[in-house]
Amino acid sequence: MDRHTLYLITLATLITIATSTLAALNEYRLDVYISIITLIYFTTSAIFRPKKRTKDFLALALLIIFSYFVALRIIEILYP
Amino acid sequence: MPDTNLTAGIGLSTFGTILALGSYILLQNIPLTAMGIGIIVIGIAWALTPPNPTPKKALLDLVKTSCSNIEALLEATGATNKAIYIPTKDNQVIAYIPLKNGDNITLQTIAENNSKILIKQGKTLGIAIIPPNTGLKTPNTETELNIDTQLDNILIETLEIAENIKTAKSENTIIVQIHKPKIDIDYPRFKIIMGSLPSSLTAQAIATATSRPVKIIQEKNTKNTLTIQLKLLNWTDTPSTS
Repeated sequence: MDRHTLYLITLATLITIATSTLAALNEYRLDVYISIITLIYFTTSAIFRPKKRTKDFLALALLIIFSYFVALRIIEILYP
Repeated sequence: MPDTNLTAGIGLSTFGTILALGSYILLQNIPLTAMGIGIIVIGIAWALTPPNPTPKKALLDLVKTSCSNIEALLEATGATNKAIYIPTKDNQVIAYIPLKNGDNITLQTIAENNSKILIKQGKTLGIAIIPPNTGLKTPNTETELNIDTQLDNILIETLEIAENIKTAKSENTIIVQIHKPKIDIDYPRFKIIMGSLPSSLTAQAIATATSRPVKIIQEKNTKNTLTIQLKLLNWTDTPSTS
C-alpha cells in the first residue's frame, strides 16, 4: 500500500480510537482531546513523513493550540 | 482532472466543522465536539496530501531520454564490461565503462579525469559518462545511516519509484532490497552495463554516501522485490582487478 494512503488510514484510525476511548472514560475536558489529537498527528507525520503540497500549516495550528493549553496548565500550577 | 484528495479533504473538513460547532453550541457534547475536531484534522491532512504517488511523467521522460542516449553511445562503442560508479570531487558520480584493459590505471586517476569522456592511458581505454541521477547530496560523515538516507531521499522521496528499501552491509559488499520498484527502462545494453534504472540510482547514491567507487555485482528481480548486490571498491583498485 502507498505510504500516503497508509498515513491517512493510520491517522483516522488512531484519532477515532483515542476519541472513543476518552469518551468511554467520561473525559469532558476538550483540551485533553485536542492534545491527544495533536500528539497523534505529529507522531504519524514523523513515522510516515508524507509529502505535503504546501507548508504544513495544520501542524503549526495544532502546535499553537497545544502550547496554549500547556501554558494554561502551567499557569494553573504556578498561580493556583 | 479534479483533484480528489483536495475535494475529499475539504468536504471532510467542512463536515467536521459543522459537527464540532453543532455539538459544542447546540448539544454541548464535548466528545462529539472532539470527534468533529478530529475529522477536521483528518480532512486537512487529506487535502494537503498530493494526489500523485506514482512518478511524475515529465521527470521520468527526462530520465528515459537520457538513458536512450547512453544506450546509443554504448552500442556505438561496443561496450560489454560492467560500469564502475565513481564519485568525483565536484559532488558528481561518473560511470566508468572499461573498453580495453591494459596498463594499471587506478580508479583515483579516473576520478581525476572527470571532464573527459574518453579515458586513455597506455593500452587502457574506457569511457566516463554521467549517468541519469537526481538529488544526490554529499553527507557529512561516512555512516550506514547516510546510505539509507540517500536511498530514501532519491528513490522514495524524490523520484517515488519505490515503496520501501532495506540495506545490509558486510565489509565491502552492500545488499539492497527495493520493494515494489515502479519504473524500469527497456534498453538491453544499458541494463547489462549500467544495471537497471533503480540499480543505477542505488549505486550512485551509495557511491556518494560512502565516497568510494561502487560496482553492481548482481541483480535479482523476484516478484515485487529487486535485490541488488553491490561491491565497494578501493581507490587503488584498477578496472581490471575490481
